[in-house]
Amino acid sequence: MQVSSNIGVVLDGARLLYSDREIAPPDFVDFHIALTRPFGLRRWWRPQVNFRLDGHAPFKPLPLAQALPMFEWGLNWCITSHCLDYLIIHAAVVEKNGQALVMPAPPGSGKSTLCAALVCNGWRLLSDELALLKLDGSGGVVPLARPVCLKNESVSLISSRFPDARFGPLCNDTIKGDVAHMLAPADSVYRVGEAATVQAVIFPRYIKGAETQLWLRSRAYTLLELAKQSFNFHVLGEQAYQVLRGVVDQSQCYDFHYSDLEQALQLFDDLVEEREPALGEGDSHYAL
Amino acid sequence: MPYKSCLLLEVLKSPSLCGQLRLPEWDLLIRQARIATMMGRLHVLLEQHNLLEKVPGEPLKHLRWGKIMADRHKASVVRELISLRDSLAELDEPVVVLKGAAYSVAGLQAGVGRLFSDIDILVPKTVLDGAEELLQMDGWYTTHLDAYDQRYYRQWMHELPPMRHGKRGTELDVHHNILPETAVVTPNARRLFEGRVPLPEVEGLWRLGNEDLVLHSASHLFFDGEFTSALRDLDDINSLLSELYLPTGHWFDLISRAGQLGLQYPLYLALHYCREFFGLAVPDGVMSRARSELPFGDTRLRLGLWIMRRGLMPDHESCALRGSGVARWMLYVRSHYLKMPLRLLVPHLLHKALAPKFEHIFKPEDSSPRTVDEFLTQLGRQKRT
Repeated sequence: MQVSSNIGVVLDGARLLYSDREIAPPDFVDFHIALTRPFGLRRWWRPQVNFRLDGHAPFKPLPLAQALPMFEWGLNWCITSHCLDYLIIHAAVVEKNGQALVMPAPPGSGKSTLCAALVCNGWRLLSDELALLKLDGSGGVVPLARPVCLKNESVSLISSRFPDARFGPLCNDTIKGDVAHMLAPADSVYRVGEAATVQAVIFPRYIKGAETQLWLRSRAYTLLELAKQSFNFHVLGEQAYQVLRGVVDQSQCYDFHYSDLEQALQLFDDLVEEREPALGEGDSHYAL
Repeated sequence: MPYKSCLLLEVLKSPSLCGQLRLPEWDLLIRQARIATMMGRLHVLLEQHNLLEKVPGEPLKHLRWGKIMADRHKASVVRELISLRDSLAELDEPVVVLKGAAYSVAGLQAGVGRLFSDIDILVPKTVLDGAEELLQMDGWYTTHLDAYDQRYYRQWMHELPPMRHGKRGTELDVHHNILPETAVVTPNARRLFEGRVPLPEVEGLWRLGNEDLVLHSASHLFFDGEFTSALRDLDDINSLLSELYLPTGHWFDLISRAGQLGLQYPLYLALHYCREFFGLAVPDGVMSRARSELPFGDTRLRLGLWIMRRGLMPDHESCALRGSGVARWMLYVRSHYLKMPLRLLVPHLLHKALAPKFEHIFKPEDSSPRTVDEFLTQLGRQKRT
């Protein structure tokens, strides 16, 4: 990835967010991207920022204040719309004791908050947005170890509970609300070449005031939902189906509701340390 | 050579060059191929010349992704065409598949490794309404819901407003001719149907005859479009000519057909650039005959060639020639006036420029669902609230 920009926030932000990364030799770069302020009127009047891959803009420009989030979203777009070496699912992935958990969920479900809390609590971050599932039938998932995107109250929640967490600058008023990026823990970045095996698929949902509850979810519905949350299932076709089948066959599948972060962290630790967490009855028709 | 800097073009012309490229050059080649939407095509070309093992891992990955995407398009297009044939069977009129989908299903080299943005079909104008109705019953709906756009397409264009399938999202253009009614030249559509050839892979569907296949591709590139994937389109034509005319040498059939349909100029341009860019062996006699069919002098032709050459290069900074920006702008303007005379064009552009600014005053936002999925999502939302 090569980034060029005439915006200080983007260059400084990229250096900060990816400070633990190695610098790749510039001979061959997968994606040459640019984030630039346009010339002309829009440079001064309600200034904007453009994202371009090789001179072509896949998105409409955003207000200048959102330049750094746009950089991160643009990177996601580069991966999801080009890379076909993996089945890519919109999901967070964390790992502990060699066991990877895949957490697919729509925006607003508290997936990133939970993911950030877990990686601050000893879990390894593979990704907070994109699960890259291997196509070789191994049920493996490949890390990205990129920053975790947190929104609104989650930013202060995580930074006060985990004072060691490192953050990029806060950007106000994006389409997703206030956004800040938490750096991937250094250890997760160093181990970015190390794949993990999926052991569980968990659909988290933050519900204000809800009891912490985990219950089994049917494998069939899990597969359907993973396919729906996938970016390239339609391109990979049957191969993608076989990958998902392998993943749900080897995994426990759960629905998970929470409001208390401490209880959630405890329950996830129980899950991998083979202390059976108490399973709830469940109220969803996806339940097993 | 003025276009020495376009590595993609050099490689398309002589693939063996790939054996000598260093990594920074691969970097440039991949970027140019991506912009020209020719990644899958490049993979196929290198495969055919047994050059894939010479490609380093990093660029090979991008080529492979392009090939996977192209294979998927091919598989989908066969399925879509079968379903279209069944939807339109009741018409009892020939349905002719155009452009990329036709090359692909006709087993022509031009279709291998190619991507499609949509499917194009041609039906007789007399059954256009019937075709639209049958398609709507099978889940295709019209896009461009704006009343002005609908009228614009139906009154002036050579196609219905683009349709999209409600479940699969595939885009479909239903044509009744290959150029707009208002264009400088409008071929006689009846003649196009007369020359049709059956498609082997989807029984019951047709493609254009060999001459018309080339002429449509050329008129689409040089008369119809904005030059967004121009090099890809020229590569299509080169591929068609190499496969259908090089071995037989029936070039004069092509020239006389162009005369019948009024498409001499796009044919000349196609032959000229395939010769210049890809070294296609078009005999000199054919070139001078094609030139003699044009009703204008050398100065105008030279200007045309100057502009088009710039439009044909991939739109990447590394391929830009002196004057590329101006040439692209001129091509854009040209694409409009070729489509319709000024007395229609000026009011049309005014409407397009001004209508969005006043739209909110006249029209409340339309939230009615356009796809089955949108409908189900809205239904779910209503239930929850």
